[in-house]
Amino acid sequence: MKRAQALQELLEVFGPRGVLWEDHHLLLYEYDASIDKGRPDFVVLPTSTEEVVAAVRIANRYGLPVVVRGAGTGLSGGAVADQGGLMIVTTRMRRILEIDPVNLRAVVQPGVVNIAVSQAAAAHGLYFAPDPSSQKACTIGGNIAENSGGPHCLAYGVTTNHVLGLEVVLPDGEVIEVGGAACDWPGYDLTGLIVGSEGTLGIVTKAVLRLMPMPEAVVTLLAVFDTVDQASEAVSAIIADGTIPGAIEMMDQTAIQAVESAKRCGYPMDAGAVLLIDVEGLPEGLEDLARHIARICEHFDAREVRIATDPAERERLWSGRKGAFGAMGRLAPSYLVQDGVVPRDQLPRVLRQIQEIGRRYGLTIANVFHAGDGNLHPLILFDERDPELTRRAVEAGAEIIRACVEAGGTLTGEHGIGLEKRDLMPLLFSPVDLEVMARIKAAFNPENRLNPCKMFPSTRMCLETWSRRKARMEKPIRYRITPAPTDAEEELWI
Amino acid sequence: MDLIDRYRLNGSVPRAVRQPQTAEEVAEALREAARSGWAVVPWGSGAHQSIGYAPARYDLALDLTRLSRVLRHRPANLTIRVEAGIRLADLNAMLAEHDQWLPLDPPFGDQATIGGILATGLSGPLRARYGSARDLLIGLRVALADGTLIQGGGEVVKNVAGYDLPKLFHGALGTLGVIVEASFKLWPRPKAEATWAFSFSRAEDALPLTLSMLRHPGFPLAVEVLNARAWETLRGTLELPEDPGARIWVVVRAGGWPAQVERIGRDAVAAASEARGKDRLPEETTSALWARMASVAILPTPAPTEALGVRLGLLPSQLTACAAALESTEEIPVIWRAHGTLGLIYAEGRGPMETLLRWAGELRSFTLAQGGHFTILGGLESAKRTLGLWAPLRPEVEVMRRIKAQLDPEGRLNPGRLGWA
Repeated sequence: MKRAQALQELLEVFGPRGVLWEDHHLLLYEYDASIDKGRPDFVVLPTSTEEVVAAVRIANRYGLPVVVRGAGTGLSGGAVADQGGLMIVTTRMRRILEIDPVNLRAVVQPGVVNIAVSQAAAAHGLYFAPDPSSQKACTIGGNIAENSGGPHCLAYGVTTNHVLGLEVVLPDGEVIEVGGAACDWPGYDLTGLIVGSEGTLGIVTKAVLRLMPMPEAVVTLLAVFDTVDQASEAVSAIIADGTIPGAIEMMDQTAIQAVESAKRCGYPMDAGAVLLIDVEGLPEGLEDLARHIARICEHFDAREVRIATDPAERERLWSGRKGAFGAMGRLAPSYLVQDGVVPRDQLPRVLRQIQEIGRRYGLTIANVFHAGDGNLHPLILFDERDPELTRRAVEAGAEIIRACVEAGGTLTGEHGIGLEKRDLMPLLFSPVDLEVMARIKAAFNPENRLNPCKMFPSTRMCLETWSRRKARMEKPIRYRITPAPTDAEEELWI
Repeated sequence: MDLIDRYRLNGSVPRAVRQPQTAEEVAEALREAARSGWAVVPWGSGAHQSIGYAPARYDLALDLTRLSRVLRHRPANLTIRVEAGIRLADLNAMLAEHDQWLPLDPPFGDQATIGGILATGLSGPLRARYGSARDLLIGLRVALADGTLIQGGGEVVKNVAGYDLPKLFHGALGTLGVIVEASFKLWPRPKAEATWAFSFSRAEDALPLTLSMLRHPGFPLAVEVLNARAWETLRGTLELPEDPGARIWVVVRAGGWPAQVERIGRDAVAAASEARGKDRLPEETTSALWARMASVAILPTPAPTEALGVRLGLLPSQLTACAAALESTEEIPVIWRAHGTLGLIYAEGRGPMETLLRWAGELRSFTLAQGGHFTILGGLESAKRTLGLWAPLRPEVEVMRRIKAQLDPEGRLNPGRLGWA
């Protein structure tokens, strides 16, 4: 009864093309890029703030949890409806409302794809700096929820450093504005708090972004090392030397071999590690700077340093890094990517620990990561169809995270906590730290209806609901148009 | 002078002063205050205690200046963790040995403590290049009103685990918790630096320069705009160029590798086509100039009686219109200064209070009409009460109030500072 009524109300607002409720449609929205799954009860595709408000109000009337999803490229399960409920998909809110080339601002809807902002700004010589590897697909709303990073965040900062203001729908349906196009709005920095809150505080329906001038010149260095140790010592030395390049990325031998056989981007197959370094900005002195960095690499026994200034050659060197996650398919059917961060001077030690953990669990681990930030991305290779391997991969991942925290680091640098790492939060935060976060959540989301069971250690209720719903997901789906649910149907979201 | 008199605020003195030496002692002082129901005002150097309304209740002055240690500097990681009472100047003197710095230059930066800089959220000219303390802050340890010590963030440069608590406490004027430790990402000091000063007859002539610096891929360190009166206050003590016909000055500070510095300077000179004077300042002047710059047009604490200090948040392109609004009345000699690439403008007026209130009221209307925000930074309590501390007050304030109620339910931390918190 409740389900049929809720559907009826959603259809009234969104029309038949704006609501999905049949299992074979919902199936497409039950996962993101992490390994967790959970099927929502309804999906709506709003085109405006008003429609988001209407959806939230309907969800409130029927006690439905609300999960917001952009492109579904998230890596921590943040947009997975593990508790069911109403999923608000923002991909039809994809208008760029304004580009202000004089003041370097853009105003966009949340479903705008990251790279579309830079494309729209390119005519003015501007771009949006945060560049997650999924930037051709991921949305600004998702970037804001996760406080996403990317290779070039080393020099320019992550999403939060580039978001000036937001329009936010609160869980009770009220719309507020926080921050704005000017800097330093008075009062508490709610913008800074909402960025990175993983959809648990409010629903972003509009964002004011800061644009940056494009660099006039970019030089890419490829430094080839025999060992990961040498490469990570070089990273520490470059940072300590007082030079902050645009990006410093590292790949280890496993990654190099997978990438090179897939992409032919010119990395030596027998190298122990490569560093990919961008120096950028003004052309004046840039090549001197590149040569200076090359000398540091050589000092740490780089056996070869290539310096590319030609855009096609640079593109080729970067293609390997950008296609690295995809190339892992050559090595194993599935991978689990971790996202721990360590102080940069701890890189050599922690990378050795990761290899040791891989050996102990009998798993291959490839490393492709933002070395300049100390942000690791160990890719643990396994086969999702094998429960024993899956268990070992998850355990090895948790052990890597523990090693990062012990080295003075953190659980996640840019992928978020989501479902995946929620039970690891106590590694980093004391019960009182978590209690304070819960109180802040209560100030926005007192009934815990927005993205419940994410980001904080799971409660018994979270787990029970999830296991009931999981059992249901395993039932086969009949691919035919079914009539709207009847009164007899069980209430799915309870 | 009696110790307690040093902590006088708007005429009132606290019942007691505590000068803890460790985070634990801060927590203990707060627990003690909680038991007595006392209102607590955290103190650093006191340089900016006049920001916000005067506290509605004031029982305990909690002086943090004895928490002044560097806890962990990792030079090869470009990060540092310090106690909140350390002075920025002392910290940067220490970091200079490593060719690193925490590139913050808030008003009265020679006195300011890290905790005070974070609590007030004030920034200076270097913000054009490095962002504000908000952008450099990566971790915090905070004592809550009940004496609980919590932490947010950490000591790594990228971190999205949990809510971004450092952002929440930055700029909260000590109303949510007492910052006891902070960690930052550091920057290498620029290899070379140079400063140029440009004088203009009209604000609109300066705009092509400030806007071209905003979109300059060499990222100038600072682009400050001053009116003639503000420039004269600097020229009073420093060897600076003189131009009696100038109404507006723009000072550009470039940093980086020598070739980059020269390039930024060349571009600035080219963009300042309407400038009356274009001077590269001698090195012996520039460090003194930049040490003074951030305090121009900022009233000292306590504020003089016949003066009012305001801050306007606008867009960089609105500077011309703003310059006219700032100096619309002949009755008040206004000193103003702007971060030219950021649209933040600081102004101080001196004169009879009635005239000042009219001037500020008009400025507020102008700023709101332009879609910006307006804050009274310094001045008599009665002036703040008359005009309201800041505008616009939007529905988000209700959420702020709820956060305050969650973290300080008894309202004992700097009560009334923000009016509603």
